Amino acid sequence: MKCSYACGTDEHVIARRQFLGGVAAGAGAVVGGLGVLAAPASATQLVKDQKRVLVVNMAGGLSQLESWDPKPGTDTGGPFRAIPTAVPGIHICELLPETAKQMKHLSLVRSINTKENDHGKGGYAMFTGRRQTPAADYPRLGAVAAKALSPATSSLPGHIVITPGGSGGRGSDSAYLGPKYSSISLGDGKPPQNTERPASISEQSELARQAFRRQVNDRFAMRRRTAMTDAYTANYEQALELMKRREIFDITKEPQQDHDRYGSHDFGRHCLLARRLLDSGVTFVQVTHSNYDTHNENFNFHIEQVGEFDSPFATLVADLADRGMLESTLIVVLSEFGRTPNINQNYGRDHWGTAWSICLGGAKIQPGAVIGKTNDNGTAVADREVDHGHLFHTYMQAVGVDSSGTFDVDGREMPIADPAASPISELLA
Amino acid sequence: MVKPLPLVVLAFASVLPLAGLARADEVPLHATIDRMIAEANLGIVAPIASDGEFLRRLYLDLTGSIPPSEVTRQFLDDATADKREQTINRLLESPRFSRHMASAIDVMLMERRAEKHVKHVDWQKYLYDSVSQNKPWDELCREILAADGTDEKNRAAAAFYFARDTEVNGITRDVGRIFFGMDLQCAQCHDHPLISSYYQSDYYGIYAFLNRGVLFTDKDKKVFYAEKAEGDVSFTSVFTSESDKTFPRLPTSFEIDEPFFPKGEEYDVAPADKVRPVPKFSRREQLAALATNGTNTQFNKNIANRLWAHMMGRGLVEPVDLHHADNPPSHPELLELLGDQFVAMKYDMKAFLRELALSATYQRSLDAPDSVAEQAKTIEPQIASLRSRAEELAIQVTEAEKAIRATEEEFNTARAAVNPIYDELTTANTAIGTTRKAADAGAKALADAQALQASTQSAFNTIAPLAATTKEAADKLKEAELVDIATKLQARADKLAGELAAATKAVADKTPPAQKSADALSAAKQAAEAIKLRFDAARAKVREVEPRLATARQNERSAARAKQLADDELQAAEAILAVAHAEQVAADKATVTQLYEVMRDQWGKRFSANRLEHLSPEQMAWSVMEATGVLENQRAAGEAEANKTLPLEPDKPADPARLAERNKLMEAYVYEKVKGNIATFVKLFGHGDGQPQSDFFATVDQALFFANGSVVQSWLNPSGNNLTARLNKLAEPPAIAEEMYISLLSRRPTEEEITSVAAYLQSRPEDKLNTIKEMTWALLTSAEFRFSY
Repeated sequence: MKCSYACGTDEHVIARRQFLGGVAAGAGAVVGGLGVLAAPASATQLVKDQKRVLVVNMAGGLSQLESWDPKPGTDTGGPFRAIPTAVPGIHICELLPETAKQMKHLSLVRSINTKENDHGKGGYAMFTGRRQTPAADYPRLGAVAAKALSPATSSLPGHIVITPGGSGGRGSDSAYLGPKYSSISLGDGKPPQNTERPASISEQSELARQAFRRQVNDRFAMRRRTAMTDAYTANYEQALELMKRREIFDITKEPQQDHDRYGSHDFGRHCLLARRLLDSGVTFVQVTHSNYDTHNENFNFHIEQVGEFDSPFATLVADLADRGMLESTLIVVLSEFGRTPNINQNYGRDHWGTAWSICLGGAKIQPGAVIGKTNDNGTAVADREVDHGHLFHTYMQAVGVDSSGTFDVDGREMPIADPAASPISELLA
Repeated sequence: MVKPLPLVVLAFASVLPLAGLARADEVPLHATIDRMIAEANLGIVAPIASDGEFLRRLYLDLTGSIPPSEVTRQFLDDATADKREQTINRLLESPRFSRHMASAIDVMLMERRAEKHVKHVDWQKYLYDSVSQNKPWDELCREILAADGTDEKNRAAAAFYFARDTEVNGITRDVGRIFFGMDLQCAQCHDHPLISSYYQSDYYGIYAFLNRGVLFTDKDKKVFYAEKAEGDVSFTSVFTSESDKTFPRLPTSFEIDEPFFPKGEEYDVAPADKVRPVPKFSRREQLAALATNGTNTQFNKNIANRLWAHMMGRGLVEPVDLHHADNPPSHPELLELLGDQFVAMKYDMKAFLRELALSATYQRSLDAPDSVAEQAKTIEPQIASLRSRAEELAIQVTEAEKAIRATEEEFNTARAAVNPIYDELTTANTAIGTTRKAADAGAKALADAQALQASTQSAFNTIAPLAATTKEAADKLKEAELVDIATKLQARADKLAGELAAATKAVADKTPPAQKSADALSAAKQAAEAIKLRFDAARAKVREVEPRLATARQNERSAARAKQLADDELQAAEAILAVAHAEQVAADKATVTQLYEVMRDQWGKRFSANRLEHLSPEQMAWSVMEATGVLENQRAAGEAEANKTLPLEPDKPADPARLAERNKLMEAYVYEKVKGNIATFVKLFGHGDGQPQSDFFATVDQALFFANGSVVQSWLNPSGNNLTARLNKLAEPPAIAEEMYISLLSRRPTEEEITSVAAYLQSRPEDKLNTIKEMTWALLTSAEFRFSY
């Protein structure tokens, strides 16, 4: 008997659970089932409803005092003033005048104590919601978001990291969720590797070889067809689909006036690319702004860096709001830690996981809120102390994922977020 | 143990062109395997695979690559009766086998972790040399499990611990998973919530072998995995808050007995600044010794199952790191036998893999017979008895569970009595430490006083007679100068006499306290000895219950296993009946094929037909390079190199050792040239570091790499004697099709496939090379290439 139709076996049941893609969907012997590819027409509706996440990683450790939690006039406050924002009562550092105007869309958490002053471990905690241990590795936020939120039918990578440099490629940041959810990095905003057909292959050749490939696969499928063979053959179709949509990575397609609004420097271009990717339905986009590790000349560096950050970021927030995408898109501006209230002899601030802030907004995040506070000169959390675990739960809840749920990984139940922590419920609308 | 009902024992006679090397009076292992698999068959068995299918599978499993086209062509045309066995023997002796097995063991043990303190190339060389020498599995494991990095020759063996940062929870989990097939991770904080036979004490039993390990860096910054002599293990369940202690214990075994060392006598080299401690009793060495001495059946079954999975694509227990009662082996008795046989074969991996390869079970085709109606007829009448049997066994499981409880209680009582006595022993040992300090101080004070007394006595003994003699002389001669000297000498002698008296008194004063503190130490030791006797007695009670508990647990496991197997059998039988019924009532095609797929899945699990498995990243890399001819070109270069360094000696009789050495040199040459390419494939097709590596996944970057990447494109350009160069030289479409299919898919094309190739060539005759490259690419990216079947 020849087989021309596949389902009903364990492998298929597992694969079908995967096609569903959502929370607590199973992963099993097969990872990476794709199912039917989305028709472009239905994709539009999906894009509108689909929850997305934008993370701006202020690499090196943004100073909370020169951004979200200024303490002007105190021994630790530094030279900058605090300015009012669009939300009465919320003041932020004067280096963020444009962001201040968008504050009605954003909220602040000013009471973070991660107890972690190491770049690597701090970043790990903030991106996984767990402390780093040698015994177990946990998936990064982007992998979790891609797994929980990406439509099964998407031909786009669900987890994209835009980096200032680098050559691109797949990251190793999805732990037990598997490589399907690993980040694809866009080095300096360039499209993913190998998405362009080489000049040596004509369109005629391409069509012919793909047709022959399908024919060969169809013949083999008559002998044996499983979820694995389906996933493998569909993968080539998905690659073609992505090649066709390659221009979603191409910001030259954006109007000139937007280029002007975002600015021609790396961060501006990367924010514009992030907008374009989110617009196109990519689940998770991370933009990196570097480098905030200001052990020397903290204030001069922050004038320069935060100054560069302010306008493109505010433009991006405003654009997402204008396009009606804020309801579905969570925005998080985070670092691996903050910077010491104490100003060192080099006019620098050092690593500080004890009392610092992040900015977030969109999706189910209550707009215009401030959670927690630090004491008068910012040396300790004074109210509503939270850590990376609470934040991770909050991000998940904000995009409609039950953060107390689990992923079923090969029959092993893996909690989505650290079961010992909980979301900041008052921040959630 | 409860034996599963032999449901359908069909006459199973498949004539294979195979013969073992066993003595005539002895049934070779591969025949026993086939018999036991056949006994559990449910009527349907796939035929023996075709030559092409067999060869491709064998090459992938034993050398990690598809076969070279020339080899395939010869094999297909070879009429020799025992050509399969010959090929198995030849491949097992090839350097490619060593390379592939070393790589498979590397991935199994390291799961692509980054190197730490030992270079990855050194670790790989260690494994390659080990497989090359056919080092037995027990020896390899002993070296790895006992490793501390001090053995210069085998320092690389410590990489298993080093790569995991020697972090005790990480290595506890991986020792359990990889060497015993038990993933006890969830039992770290409580008894496993889902697996009834994984206890928190299992986890901490392994942990106790390892928790005394410490990373030690010497003055030259060289790192070692040293061990201390102290560190007890107690644990608390986060669910029940119950606490317990454990001594080192291997999974499915019992706590070990350890020698008792009074505090202060437990080290060969005591720990100190910049000094690597060496305990008199190393728990880690115990782990290595006890795991590998042949008696730990779980250790033996684990590796037998993993080697089985290496060849068959699926373990008898699957996943391979979840051996437990609710996940029984598909063929329990076979797994027991394989574990025992592997020990009997002295853990010889090569000999064991050879037996697996020789079995008909290994050589089953992917395809199965067309109709199931006949089989269904045999099964139908038995289905009712099968159902009632499954129910009956469920009752037996409950009874076995009840039976275990009484023994467990007895064991727990005995075990609970040990802990307080051990606490007493620990306290007593601490007292030994304290009294030893006092005793050492007392003894030193006494020794100092005695030394002073002795030196004073010696001085007095020198001066006193001299003073007397001088006085005598002075009295006689009355010389003023002499009188003066005599007076001084006398004064000195008198002073010394006084000092001597004081020193003697000091000795007398210090003797009783010294004696007292020495007595106190002896008393403390005696006290400890007395407690140790009670401790031994309590342990003896535990050991008395242990065998009974082991039996009860074994019974429970057997019952649960039998129940599970009966359920499986029922399921498989019902799957066959469902197909037969659907065929009978002429259900629509979709329904029939759906049911057929369910049934096929069941066969795969029962090893009645071969399963489809994906190639590992390494297999994929080697196979793509073999198919496209990259390796052929490198082999030619390697041979030219060997002709320079170790030329053949055409005038002399062939020297097998020299030939073997040449083969090794050539293989190593090719490996060095292509290992960068392998790394590229590992990055694309491999899982993240530290993650299990076996699951299949497909990501778009893989397809894009093949579709547009420069690496694959360059391999498709004609060069030397590579595939597209060979194909381009051929004129006739059937010849082109044949070379293409043999090179890429290790089989000859069907008529239909030849027609397709001809039509493709015909579509653009002016563009022959491109059409060849395109078809080659299409076969390279086909599912048939990506999977082993």
